[in-house]
Order: sequence, then structure tokens, then C-alpha cells
Amino acid sequence: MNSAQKFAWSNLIIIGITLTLSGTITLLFAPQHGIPLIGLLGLVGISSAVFRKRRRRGGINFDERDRLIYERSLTAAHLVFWPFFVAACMLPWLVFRSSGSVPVYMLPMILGGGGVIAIVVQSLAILLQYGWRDKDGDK
Amino acid sequence: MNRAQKIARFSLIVVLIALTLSAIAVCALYFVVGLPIRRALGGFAFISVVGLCGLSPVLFRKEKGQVEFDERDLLIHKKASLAAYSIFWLLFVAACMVPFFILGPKGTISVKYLPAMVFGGMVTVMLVQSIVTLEEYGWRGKGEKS
Repeated sequence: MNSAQKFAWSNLIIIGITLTLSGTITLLFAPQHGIPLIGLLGLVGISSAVFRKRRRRGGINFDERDRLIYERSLTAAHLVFWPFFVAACMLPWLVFRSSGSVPVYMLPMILGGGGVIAIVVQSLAILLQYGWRDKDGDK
Repeated sequence: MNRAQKIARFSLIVVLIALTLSAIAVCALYFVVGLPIRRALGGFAFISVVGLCGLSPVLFRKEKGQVEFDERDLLIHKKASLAAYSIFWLLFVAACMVPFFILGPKGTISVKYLPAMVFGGMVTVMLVQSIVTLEEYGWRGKGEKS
């Protein structure tokens, strides 16, 4: 399994665990206990640093094919992100425009939702292109 | 001047016209007409002029039988998109987190801020993509046609 696949898997696992944990605790106890756990999504930033470490040591683990897959996955992420972003901003405007204001905590929610969707789609696109499992010769 | 340059130049001109008209309208409504700032911001409706960018594929059609897009064009397009989205994400994070930190978690914000974020994001992406494309190819024609 190469570094991009590991990166994609780690993102999916971190996001999956975080959302499950946060959702479960919110349902079982209270939102004020569950919602702060969403901060665990910050671990996604660490997975990028961990799985790119080998490249800095001089080993070639990123060729033209990897670059193409990475670029395609970014394109897919933004193709899904934009409709979400437009809907997340325009639907509240349509619903609440008579009241004139929305709670400010909606903004970090839009940002977090957009970020999670973009990362999940990017990771899925990476795994769909490389394959979900290890193949001989991949490092 | 090739097709990508023409489209980038057209988009840049349209976006700048839209921003200028919006700024003039807001200033005129606030300073000349004397409307309160909340109503004067309605002048930003001129930003919808940006919709004219959707005409660029019709205005700058591909010529049949000619190679319009090679590896260099693709690389420039990728660079322009990367730059545009890098700046978009920085502004998006700032636009979401700065009001949250200023107003606090219990604050409220005008619902008009949300569509403004969408239009701001679109304008940013188009503006940066056009500028980087023109910066990479050059701002004027150099005799190339493909």
C-alpha cells in the first residue's frame, strides 16, 4: 500500500471514528459533550505529515501516475464541495430570510462540513483509483 | 492570443466591471441617496454581471480540426486552478471563523452574509484563475493561435 492510500485510509478512519463518537455521545448524553469531540478531526492534519515523511528522505514514491491520481481526486473533491457550499449558504438564506439573522455558529458548521466532505471525497477518489487494498509492488 | 487567454481576459474584465459597478452603486446609495448602510448594500446586486462569464464558451468557440489544448495549456490551467482554490480556502476559513470569534458562539449574523460568501467565493476563484492564467501566458498576444 503506497503513502497516498495510507493517507486516504487514515483520513477515512479518523473522520469515521470522530463522527461516530461525537454522534453517539450527543445522542446518549448531551450536545455539549458530543460536539467538542469534532475537534478530533484535527488529527487529519497529522496523517498528511506522517505519510509524506518518506518522500523527504529521498525515496521516489510519487511519479506521474500518482500526480494524476492526486489531481483527479482534488477535482472530484471540489466537484462535490461546490454544490454543498452553495446549498449550505443558500438554503438557510431561503429559510431564514424573513427573520433576517442566523446563529453565528452556523459558519464554522458550514466550514467543517465542507472540509469533511472534501476530504472524504478526495480519500474515496484516491482509493477508487489505486484500489482499496495492497497490491504487489506498491510501497 | 489563444482561447484560454481570451477567456481569462474576458472573465477578468467582467469581474472587474461587476465589482466596480457594485462599489459605485453602494457608494451612490449611501452617500448620494442617503440610504442606511444595510439598504445601500443592495447595490451589490450588480455583482450578478459576473453571470456574463457563462457566455465565454459561446463567445470563444473551439475551432474544428485544430489542437486547442496541449500539455503546456493543461499545466497552466492546473496551476491557475491550484492558485485560485488555495486563496479561496484561506478566505473561506477567514470568512467563517472571524465573525465567530468576534461575535462569540451565542451571536447572530445577518442571513445576507451567507449568499455574500457564495458570490465572494465565486468571484475570488474566477479573478485569481484569470490573473494566474494571464500571468503564465502573458497579458498580451505573442502571435500564437493554438
